[in-house]
Amino acid sequence: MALNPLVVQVATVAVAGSVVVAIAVVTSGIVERSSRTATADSNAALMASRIRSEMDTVALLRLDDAIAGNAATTNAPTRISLQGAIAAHEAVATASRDAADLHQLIGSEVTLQILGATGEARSALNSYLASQTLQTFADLQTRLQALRNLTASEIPQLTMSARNNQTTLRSAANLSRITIIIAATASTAVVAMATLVIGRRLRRALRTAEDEKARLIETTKAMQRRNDQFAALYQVGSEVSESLSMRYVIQTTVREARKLVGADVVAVRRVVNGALQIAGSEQDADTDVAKLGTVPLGQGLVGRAAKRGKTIRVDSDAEVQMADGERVAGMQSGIVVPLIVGARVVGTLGCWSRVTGCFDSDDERILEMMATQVATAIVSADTHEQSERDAHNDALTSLPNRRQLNEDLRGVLLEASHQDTPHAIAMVDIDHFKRFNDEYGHRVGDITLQKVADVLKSSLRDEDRVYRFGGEEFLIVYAGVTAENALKLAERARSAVERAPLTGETLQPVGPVTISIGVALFPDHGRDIEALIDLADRAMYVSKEMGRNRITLSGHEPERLAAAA
Amino acid sequence: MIRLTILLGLVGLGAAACFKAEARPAPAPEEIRVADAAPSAVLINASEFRLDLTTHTAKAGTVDFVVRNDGRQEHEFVVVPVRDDRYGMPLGEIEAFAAGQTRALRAQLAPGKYTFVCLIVSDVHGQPKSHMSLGMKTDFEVTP
Repeated sequence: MALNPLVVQVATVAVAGSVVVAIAVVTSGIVERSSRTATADSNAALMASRIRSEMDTVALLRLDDAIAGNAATTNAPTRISLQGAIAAHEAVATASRDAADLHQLIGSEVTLQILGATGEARSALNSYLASQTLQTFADLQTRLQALRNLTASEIPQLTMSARNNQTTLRSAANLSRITIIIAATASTAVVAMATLVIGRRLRRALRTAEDEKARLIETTKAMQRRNDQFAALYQVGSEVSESLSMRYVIQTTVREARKLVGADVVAVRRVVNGALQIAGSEQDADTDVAKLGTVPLGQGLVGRAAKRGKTIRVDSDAEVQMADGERVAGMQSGIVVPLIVGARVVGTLGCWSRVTGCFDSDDERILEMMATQVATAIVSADTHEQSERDAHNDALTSLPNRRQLNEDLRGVLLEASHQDTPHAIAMVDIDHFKRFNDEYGHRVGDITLQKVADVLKSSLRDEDRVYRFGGEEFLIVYAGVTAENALKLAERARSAVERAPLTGETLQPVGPVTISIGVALFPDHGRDIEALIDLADRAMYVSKEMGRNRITLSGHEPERLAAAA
Repeated sequence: MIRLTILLGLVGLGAAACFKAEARPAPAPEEIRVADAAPSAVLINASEFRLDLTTHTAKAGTVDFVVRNDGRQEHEFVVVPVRDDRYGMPLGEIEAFAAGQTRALRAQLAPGKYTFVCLIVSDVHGQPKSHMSLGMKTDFEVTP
C-alpha cells in the first residue's frame, strides 16, 4: 500500500511536535523539582541556623545570669532571672517548632535527631528551671551543645545542597531555554520543509491537472469536430441523395468536402472513356486551378486511386506525385478517395492542402463515407440525366426533340420578350426525302437524316439551337438576330447542306441532298410559339413551292403562293 | 440506563467511604500498663546503644510493644514512620525511663516501614551525642 505523502508529512510534524513538547515537559519538571528542593533546602538551612542561634540565646541568657550570680567562678548552683527564664523558654519553643518544620521538610536522620534534641533541650530547660542545680545546668548545657553540634554539622550540608540545587535549577533553566530555541528552530524547519514539499507536490498536481484539462479540451474539440463532420456528412448525404441534378451533386460535394476536412482545394472527377474528367472543383481564392484537367487512369495520385479502387493519402510533397492534369502548385498533403458504386469506380474525390500532414485517418474515413453517398448520387443523377436526354432527344440524330423544343422555346421567348431581343425561327425540311426512303430504303434515309442533322448543327453559332421537329423536319432557333442576319444564317445552313458530300453521286437519280427553309421572326411576326412555328412552316412550304433548296421569310412570300399556302 | 446510574452511584459511595476511612487519622500510640500488653506484643531490649527486637514485622492494626531498659542509662522508645527513605514526624513515644524499668506502648499501625529510635542526647567523652547516632535505631515493617 502506498502511504499518502501528505499523511507522512503530517505524521512527521506530529512526531516532531510531540518530541518537542516532551522535552519541554521534562525540562519544566526538572526546573520545578529543582526549584522546590532548592527552596526547601534554603528554608531548612535557615531554620537550622535559627535553631542554633536560639540555642546560643538560651546559653547566653544563662551565662549572663550566671555571671551576674557569680556562678561561673564559684561553681555554685546558678540562678536565672524570670525574664531570662521566659526568654529561654520561648527560644526553646521556637527552636522546637523550627525543628519540627525542618524535619518535615528534610526527613533525614540528622533532622530527626535535631527534633529529638530540641525535645531534650526543652525538658532539660524545664528541669533546670525547676531545680537550678549544677547537675541540671550541666544536663541543659549538654543538650544545648548537642543541638549546636547537630545544626553545625547540618547547616553547611543544607547550604551546599541548596547551592547545588540552585546550580541544577540554573542548568535546567538554561537547558529549557536551549530546548525552547531548538524546538522553535526545529518546528520552524519542519513546518518550512513540509510546506516546501507539500507546496512542490501541490504545484506538480496542479500542473498535472492543467495538462489533463488541456488534453480534455483537446479531446472535446476533436470530438466536436467529428460531430460537426458527421452532421455535415449527414447533410451532404441527404442533399446529394435527394438531387438528380449532376451539377448540384458535384457542387454540393466539393463545397461540403472542403469544409469537412478543411482542404484548400477539392476536385471531383468522373470516369469518362477510361480517363478522369474534371467534374467540379472548389478552392480558396489564392489557388489557381486553371490547369486542372483530365487525368488518365493509373496516372498521378488521382489515377492510381481510381485504378486501384483504394484511398490514397499523402502527408507531404503531394505536388511531386501528382500527374499533369491534377497538379496544383504548392500542395503538400492530400487524400484521394475513389467514388465506387458496386464494383465500379465512377470517379474520384480529391482533397488537397498546402499544410503538411493536414489530414488524418479520421478525415480519410469521413471522406470515404461521403464518397459512398456521393458515388451513388452521381450514378443516379447520371442515370436520370441520361433518361432525361432520352426523353428529350431524338434517338436517331441525337438532336433535342420537339418536346425539348417546346420547353426551350417557352423559356427562350419569355426571356426574349422581357429583354425585347429579336429571335428567328427557321423550319427546315429535306427535299425529296421520301424518294430516298423509297429508292434506297430506310437505312439510307436514316443515315441521311443523321448527316443533315450533323451539318446543320455545325453550321450554327454557339447561341443557336437545332431540333428534330419530326420526320425529315428540323427547326432552328437563332437567338438575337435581325431579319437580315437570320436570312444570312439560314443561307449558311442551306449552303452547308448543299455542299456537304452527303450521299454523293451514288444516290442518283435523286441527286445531292438539299433543304428548304421557312423563317419567322420574333417578335415581328408574333409572340406566340405555335403561331410562329406555323408561320415558319408556311414559309418553308412556300420555298418548296418555289422549287426547293431555298429560303423564304414569312410575310415575304409571293402573293399567290402565300394565299395558296 | 437506570442500572448504570445505580452502579455508578454505588461505586461513588464506595470510593467516598474509602477516602473517609483513609482520611481518618489513626489514634496516636499511647502508653499502657505492661500487664495490659497483648501476649503477642513485640519485646524490645534497650541498652547502650542498641535496640533488640523479638521480631521486626507485624500485621497492620493494633501492635503492642513492651520495652525493657537493660542498660545503665535512661532511654526512650520513639516510633517514626518511614516513607520514601524519609523519616516522618514521630507518631508517639515512651518517654525516657530509667535503667531496669519496663514500659509498654500500644499503637495502631498502618502497613509500611517504621523506625524505632532513642533520641536522648548523652555526653560521650565530652561530646554530646544522640543515642540514635550511636546505634539505637532499628527498622520495623508492618504488613497488610
